[in-house]
Amino acid sequence: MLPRSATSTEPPTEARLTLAAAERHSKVRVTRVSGQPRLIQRLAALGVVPGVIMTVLKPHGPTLVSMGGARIAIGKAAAKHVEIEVAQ
Amino acid sequence: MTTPVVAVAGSPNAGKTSLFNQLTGARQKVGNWPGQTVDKYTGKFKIDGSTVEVVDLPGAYGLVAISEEEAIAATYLAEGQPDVVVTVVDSSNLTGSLHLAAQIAEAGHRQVIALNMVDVAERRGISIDEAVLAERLGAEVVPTVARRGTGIDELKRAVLRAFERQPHQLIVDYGAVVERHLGGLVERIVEHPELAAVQSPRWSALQLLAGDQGLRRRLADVAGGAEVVDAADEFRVGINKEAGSNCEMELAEHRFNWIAQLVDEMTGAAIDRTTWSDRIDRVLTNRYFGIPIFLVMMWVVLRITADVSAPFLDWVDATISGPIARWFVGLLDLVGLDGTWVESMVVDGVLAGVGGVLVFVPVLFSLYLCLAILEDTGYMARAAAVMDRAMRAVGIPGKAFLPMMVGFGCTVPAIYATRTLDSSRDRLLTGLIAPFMSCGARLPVYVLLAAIFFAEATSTVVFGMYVLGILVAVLIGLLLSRTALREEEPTPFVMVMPEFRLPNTRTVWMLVWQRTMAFIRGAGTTILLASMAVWLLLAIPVGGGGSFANAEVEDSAFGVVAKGFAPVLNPAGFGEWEQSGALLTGFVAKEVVVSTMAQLYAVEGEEAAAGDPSFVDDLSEIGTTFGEATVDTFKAIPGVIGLDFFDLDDEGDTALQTAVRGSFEESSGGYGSLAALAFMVFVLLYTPCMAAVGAFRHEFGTKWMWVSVIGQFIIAWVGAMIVFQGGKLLGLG
Repeated sequence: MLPRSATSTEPPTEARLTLAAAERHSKVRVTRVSGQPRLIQRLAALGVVPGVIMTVLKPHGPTLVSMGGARIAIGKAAAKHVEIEVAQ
Repeated sequence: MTTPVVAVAGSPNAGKTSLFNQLTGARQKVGNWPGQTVDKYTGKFKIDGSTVEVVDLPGAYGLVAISEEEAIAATYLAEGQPDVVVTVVDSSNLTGSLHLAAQIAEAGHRQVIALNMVDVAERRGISIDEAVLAERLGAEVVPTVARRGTGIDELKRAVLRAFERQPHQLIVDYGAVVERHLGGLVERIVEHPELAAVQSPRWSALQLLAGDQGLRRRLADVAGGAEVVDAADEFRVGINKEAGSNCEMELAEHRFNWIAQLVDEMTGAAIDRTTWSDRIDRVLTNRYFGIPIFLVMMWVVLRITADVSAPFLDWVDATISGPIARWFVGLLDLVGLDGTWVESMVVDGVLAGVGGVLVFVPVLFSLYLCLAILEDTGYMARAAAVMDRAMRAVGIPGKAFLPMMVGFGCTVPAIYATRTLDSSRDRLLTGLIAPFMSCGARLPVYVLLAAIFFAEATSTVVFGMYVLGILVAVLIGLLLSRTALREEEPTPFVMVMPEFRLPNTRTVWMLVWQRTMAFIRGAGTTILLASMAVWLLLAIPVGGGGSFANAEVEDSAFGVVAKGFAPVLNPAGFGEWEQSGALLTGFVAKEVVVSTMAQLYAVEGEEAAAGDPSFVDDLSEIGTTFGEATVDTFKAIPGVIGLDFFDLDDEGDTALQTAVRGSFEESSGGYGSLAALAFMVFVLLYTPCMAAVGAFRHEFGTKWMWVSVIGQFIIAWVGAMIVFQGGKLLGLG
């Protein structure tokens, strides 16, 4: 197994804003991504990385975001691991 | 000189398979959901007198493999040493699809970029400066529209030119922290000449830092490899600490930063606007409507499959058992073989068996057509997204939905489609439950029995079987994720949604054609052989009297084996030897269940109709009845949405139906319908076919294969018994 970093596999503990609580039509910037190694790798490969700006098309069941020309569906369990801030 | 090899790579849905088909003229299937290419396919093209071999790789979002599919693509690029890589980039989604292109450039391959779907990009007002892209990636860029065949010859010529070029390695700046550790790791790699020879040391170091399992495995066999892998782990920890983030994220962040700058320069300001596809998405993936919409879609699909195809089913049946059987008998008559065992083999073996299966081609054709349309529009990916939450609750990842839907068509590709999943735990779980999704070959059994015992509610019963299959899959999934597979959580759902589009006639037709032909080919090979084997076993007398091809069915070798197995099935209400015999042959393939029944019950004599129509009469009859079937089909269409304008002619039972009815009534002691239902449940749940078992073994190994086969048999037996005994207790039937 790969060594896991203790800091980043834990979901955010403080009341930080995550994609799971994003508002519809909001433009958000990803600030931090945590989770199990496979989730991190998958999000990294799709470009859900710190600094990227996305539009929330639909906040729930699952979260649907638009990034560049891509539409990505992110289930709730994964969305909780994507910390965001409101852009602009 | 050996033929140069070009590999076609690209992220799922970038149009990679369409492009491969255009390049090679191959008829490979293309679908609007990820995971269409489950293994690599090869073809050839010729241009300006040169021949080039083309390898189509499965879709990958990057070269750090997560799914098995990505692992196949990444391993081939690393080990297969293609001379040139054509990377298909989706022009309407540059950021997403340039990730792979950038990594291929970092690995130092000679690359040609197929800037695909430029028409979609143009429509959205994105203008792309190809020169900037070419310069940054060190690759020639060719605009294409693969679906229409635009730019293909240009691409072929660009590939030829690329063979002559020096490979170019892209260097992306990963920032001070990563670069320092990266440099350290590169030093460790170049200490071992053999390691440095595997591929560019910088690229090896990057992949190791990103945690690529494939490279770790490969390096383990090279001198000094294990040391370097350990060193990489230390460097990863170092980066995690210093950057205060995760190593993979740190790498991806810088790479996407580089891509974002490139895209900005290529296209000017980023355009991000809502499309009509997004509006449809809001409805189809709505948290309240999503699942009901999905269920309605599936219901319509099954109604179409069961009802609309019925008139054609009758037509094929009448044609095979009428004119075609007469022609065969006539031919045998001409060569003086009438009345011999050869005639018996052809009529009772081949025609009854293969014909019994071919009858269901219209049913499967309708099913495949519906599924192909849903796939090509992009709906399947939405269905996965919608179902994820419910599936996750029972420990099944939403991505398992795609292989499971494929399972409605055929279990074999469903097992291979598990390669799109993100972890081996998810793959195995999906592989174990996908066989419970009722495949096309099981449909004929339901259709036959439901028409006999539940004439008033045929499609409800058939739909019920599909639902039951899903329920059992869910139940077993829940059980497995609480027991054998409880160590690991299903990987959270993250999936790219392809853009909605109108189904492309060519693509849909190709999908339907290939799948239907696969079924017909099966009828021509597996089922032909199985039918002959059954006939042969029926012809061999064991004990009792009779001579070859003239034995009492019950005293034939087949009868004896089936009788030995029959008592096991008695508690489920179908312990007659004909029934157990049909199920035994069903291990070969589920279609064979029907063909064996047709053979077994036909043996008891259904003589060809009296009179001897001429060849011309026969031909005109085939034509007229086909016309009638077409009319009946159109009449049946309103019925799909619940409007019964027309009364379809209800024909009386055929001889086969009467025989089957009698047999089930007898085996169950008067509970024929219950026994038939239990029989259908058994067919739904036991081993799909030899091919599926083979695919399963290939993907998951022999141990799990036996778990799967034995497990399915037990589940099927218990399920059928519950239906029969439970139904009797409740006083049904």
